[in-house]
Amino acid sequence: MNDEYDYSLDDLLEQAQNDTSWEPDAAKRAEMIGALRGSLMML
Amino acid sequence: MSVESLRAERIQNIIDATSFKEPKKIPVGAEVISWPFSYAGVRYEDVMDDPQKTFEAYIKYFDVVDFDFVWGGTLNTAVKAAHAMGNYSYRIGDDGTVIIHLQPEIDYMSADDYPDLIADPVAFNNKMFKQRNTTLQLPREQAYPKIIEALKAIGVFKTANDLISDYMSNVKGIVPITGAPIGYFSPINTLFDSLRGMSDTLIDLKRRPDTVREAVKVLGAANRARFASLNPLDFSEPYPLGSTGYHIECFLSPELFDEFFFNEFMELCMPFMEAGLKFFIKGEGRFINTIDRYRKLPKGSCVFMLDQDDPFEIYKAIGDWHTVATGITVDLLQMGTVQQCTDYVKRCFDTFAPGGGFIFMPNKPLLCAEDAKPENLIAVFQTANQLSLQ
Repeated sequence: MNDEYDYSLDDLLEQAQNDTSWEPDAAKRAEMIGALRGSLMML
Repeated sequence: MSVESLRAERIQNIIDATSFKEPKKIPVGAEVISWPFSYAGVRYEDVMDDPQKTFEAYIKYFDVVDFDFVWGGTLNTAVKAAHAMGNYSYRIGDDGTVIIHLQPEIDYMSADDYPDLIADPVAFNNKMFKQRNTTLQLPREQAYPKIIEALKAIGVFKTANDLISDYMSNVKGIVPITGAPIGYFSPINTLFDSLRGMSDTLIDLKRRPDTVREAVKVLGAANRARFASLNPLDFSEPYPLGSTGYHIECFLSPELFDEFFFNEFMELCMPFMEAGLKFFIKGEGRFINTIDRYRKLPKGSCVFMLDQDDPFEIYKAIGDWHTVATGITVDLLQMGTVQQCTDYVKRCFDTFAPGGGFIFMPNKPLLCAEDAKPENLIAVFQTANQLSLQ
């Protein structure tokens, strides 16, 4: 598989946890990530 | 009375009512999802990007309706976050408010996929997850901005729900009826709801029942392991209630109901019931054909949220052993007169209230704009709250 497709949801969420550009507060980033995980489990 | 005292009293009333003691007040509540926007004259679609506006519209109905408890009570699906993930199985309905689930839009597994599911359910679920959330099929640099969009959308959704929950709890003193960390969801519902779809799961039960049995066995393994790791004595409080619900169950014959739901539910959950935990059983469809099984469970350990059953028939069958959560139908709220609605509520209180084992709630969630005439809903809850004190 091409490298650009070789990732998982966890990889993207880990990148988002370390990314201050969309939310400066690390605790809020973690909260939103947890909420998204919970929401996706329901779909 | 302080709001803390009000909450404590309401919790005690739930415990008493479900333990067959007459409470100081019979608990009155409902399952509510998106109907409150209609009462406020607002379309959810028009306020969903603004948590404060969403909150203000959502809570307006509490000006005219008093609840002791809710089941749900907030918005249940973050539609915009799902769409950012490339998942369109949920969308806002044509009324601009109700969140609808579109099973026909879902890309389900085929019958040929069962061997892969049975061989490695975790890998199979991951594959299906990626198939269904199409953002994850994009190159990483295109997928990442979509994830950020989904996270921002979930932030807006969560902020609105947190405001609604905080208002219900800390201003109105309303308590959730469930919330214990013990719940049972029969593994065949993972096929029915998520992997294979409703109609094909039912067809598979006729055409390839042993394959379904194998799939259910592997899908349920993780949950069985979790239950085995828990000590029921750590979950013995009678409130909040644990939960389970019917999805495929109402379509099964009594024999299949036992095989795919009741036997495992009893095996896994009865130790917790014997320790003191109660279960809220959310009906979808009818209980009556298999209600006799519940006499095997400890008295007072179950609360049935009745859906399509005749509650008077259910009460005759099991009302001396478990609690009925009933009192008005959404059909009456929608199409009846105020008099018809309040007469029905009175008949329910007269029949079910003596001796405990009754909590009041409508038979279905309040979802769509047309689900309840406001004048009926207001009269019903006024009547229920008055009768609940007698």
